[in-house]
Amino acid sequence: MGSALRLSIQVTLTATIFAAVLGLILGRLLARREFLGKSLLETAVLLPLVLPPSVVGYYLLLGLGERNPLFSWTNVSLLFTWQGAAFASGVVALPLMVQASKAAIANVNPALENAARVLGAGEGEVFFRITLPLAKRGILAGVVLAAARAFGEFGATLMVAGSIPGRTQTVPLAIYDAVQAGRYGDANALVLLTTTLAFFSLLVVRQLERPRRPPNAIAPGTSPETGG
Amino acid sequence: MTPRIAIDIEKNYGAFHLHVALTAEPGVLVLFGASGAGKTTILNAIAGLVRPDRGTIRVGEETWFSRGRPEPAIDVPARIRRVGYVMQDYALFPHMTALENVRFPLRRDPAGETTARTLLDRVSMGHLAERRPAQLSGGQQQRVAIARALAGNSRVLLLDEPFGALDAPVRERLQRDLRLLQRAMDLIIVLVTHRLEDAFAMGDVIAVLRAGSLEQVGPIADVFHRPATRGVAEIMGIRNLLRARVCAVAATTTLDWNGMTLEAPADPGLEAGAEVTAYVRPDDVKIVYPNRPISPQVAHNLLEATILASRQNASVRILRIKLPNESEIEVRFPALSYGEMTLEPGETVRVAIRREGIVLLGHLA
Amino acid sequence: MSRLFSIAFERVHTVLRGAALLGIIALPACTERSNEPLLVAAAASLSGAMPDLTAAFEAETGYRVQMTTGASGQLAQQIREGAPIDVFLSADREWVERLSDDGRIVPGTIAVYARGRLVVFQSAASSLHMTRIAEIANPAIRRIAIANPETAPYGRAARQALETAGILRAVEARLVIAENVRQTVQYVETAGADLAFTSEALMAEGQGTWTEVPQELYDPLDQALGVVANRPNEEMARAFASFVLGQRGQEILLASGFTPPDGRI
Repeated sequence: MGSALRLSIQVTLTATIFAAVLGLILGRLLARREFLGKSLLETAVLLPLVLPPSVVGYYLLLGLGERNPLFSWTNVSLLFTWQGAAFASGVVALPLMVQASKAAIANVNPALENAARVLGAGEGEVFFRITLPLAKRGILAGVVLAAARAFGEFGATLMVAGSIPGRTQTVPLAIYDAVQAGRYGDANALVLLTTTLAFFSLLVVRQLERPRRPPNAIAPGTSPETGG
Repeated sequence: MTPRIAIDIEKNYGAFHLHVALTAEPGVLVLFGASGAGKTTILNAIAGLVRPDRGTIRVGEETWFSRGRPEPAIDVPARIRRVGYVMQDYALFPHMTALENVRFPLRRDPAGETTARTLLDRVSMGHLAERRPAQLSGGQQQRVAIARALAGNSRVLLLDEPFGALDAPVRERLQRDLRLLQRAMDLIIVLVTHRLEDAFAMGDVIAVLRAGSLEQVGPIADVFHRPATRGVAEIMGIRNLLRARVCAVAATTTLDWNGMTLEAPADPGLEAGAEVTAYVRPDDVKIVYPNRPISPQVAHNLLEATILASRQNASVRILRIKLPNESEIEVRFPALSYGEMTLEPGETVRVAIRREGIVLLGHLA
Repeated sequence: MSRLFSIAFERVHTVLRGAALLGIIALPACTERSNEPLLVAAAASLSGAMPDLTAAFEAETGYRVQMTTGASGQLAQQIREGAPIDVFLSADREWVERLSDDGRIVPGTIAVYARGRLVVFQSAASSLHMTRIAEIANPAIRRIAIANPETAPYGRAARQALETAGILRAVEARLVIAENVRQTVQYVETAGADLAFTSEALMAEGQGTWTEVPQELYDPLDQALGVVANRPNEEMARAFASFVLGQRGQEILLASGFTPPDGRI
């Protein structure tokens, strides 16, 4: 049980970092730029959200199996490794991050970004000093959702990494295994843990997505200065 | 560098076609026109936020933009042009204080904070430096935006509808401060507005735009008094333009318009003996019922007039009348008003010109 | 505050970029060290015996063993796809021999380590008292759990037994397919199946009653093992295989409910 938790943390952390970084890049691209093939890209990114996990797992098997070019180049296979599990989890978590970042970034007034450009900011600065701070709540919500999704990934992970205790058997897989083997005590403990984690994640997301009250707001027009 | 902006650009947005050629010297160039005429696009093109389809933009000795010529295309990025730009709605960064906003263009400058504070003081916002935009009134935000636009030390300052959300006293103060800034720093200011009063208050040169092309460009007094086309006059909404001399300045301004006396709103900036340009709003000329008492709120400037012409559509009726001083003005009212009166050409009527309907446009140059 | 955040994020961003690159390159190549624990894939019927086997092996040799279980066919598929499995303990010969034909098994290491026995398992709460296989056709029995015949040798044997007994067609519609023989037990215990065809070796853990299925109804389940080829830990793997086939290993298997390889009791 302990190894399942450790593996889950490892896998979820890796998958979330992957989904967060890539998701942020894609989210910004989709929110701000127009280009040929944009809707195709968007649809492709969102596919894992809608496809059954076994289909996602199948594509990953094809992509990560021993016939793929990356393998012949490095002789490294991600199948049956926790890194493979992390990749599978990352792939299914990515659409959530992309959607959340895209919405959060699109909500930032483009005039602010333009103002920054006119004030001498390069694209990187515009993103890190203006867009990101103003979009950070939505982006953070996306990260939490992605993490929750990565933690719970079962089907694709099973196909890509198997359910090897101590190596790739994450919490969801361990629960399945425990139920199969009649070890209900273990199953109960893990189920309780997972449910609690999911519950708190959603609470956090809800908090982040709520509109913020401005701090110490003074209504315009009531300033003490004469002639406003 | 000889400070001067020379623009000659074309841009198409679907059905909308923009083509203007302008120059701007140190001073204030007003881009005037209705919304959708292309004014903001011109500002954005100067700033480098919008790329025209064709044309050139030269500032001093530098070419900032060139496209469609045999020579290689040039498009200097906005962050290098670094014009001062006060956008509509100010675009202040909501997550930064006023000071941090003004500091932003100076963030790499070790003396940046001091410079920023100086600028804020200059626009009388020094004491509110730590406030966030949400905690500032419209006028205060406006001034922070101006300070921020000036922080980049550009000779060019672009302003897009800067006076929109402000009340009269705030507006006038800002206009005065901007004129002072312009003189102190020898700025080239390009100001976009659709309000006649603002154009007149700020502008040296006015460029009148309609549907993407220039109708007329010239010193502001010239364009007002000699609109090149009816179109220009219409765009500027000028009706009933007049020149008068100020007789007295007190609780109201007494004007002598070709021998006829008019009471206009008080204007502390005027002196007796000065010549002013003004116009009478057609909607503020009321016909007086012969048998009824007149409300004191409209009982100003009671005059006898003769109706010269009348035309009407479904909602509005427009009369052309001749006043005792032989001048002709237009009168507008809802078509259903004055139902009992016939108001045919040739008739004599009494009119009341509401004091507030006389808009003073300032001094002649 | 948010400025600090932006600056911090800039730095973290750079660090993360580097870490991500490092992470991709560094592993899993690093895990191929020869003092990694052995990974043994065991058929589901060995779920009860494996903990004892691995503990005894570790005690004797000091080598650590990790295990993974499942239906023999599933495990064979994983091995074929490159799973890092060192030893394969199947529930029959066929799956190991098929892998060997593909060159996945070290030649000469295939050996039968036990014979499994098919049993019928009922939950303790069941009111049915079955003594003969033919009674399965009783309409009161609504759900019969068997392991997937395509991937689990015990499932195949169960189907064969039903057919030989002449009742397959009668009960076919009531068959519930489980992933492996261990899950068939779980189906009876918690999922409402009335009966399960499972392995005798799993009966120590089950809570219910069980009856042997007569051997003449199905082909014997000669459970064979093989050492997987092209693995870094081949020496250790061979040692484990020998252990299972050796005296101590055989004792444990016997105690778990298996019979010796040649069928003698």
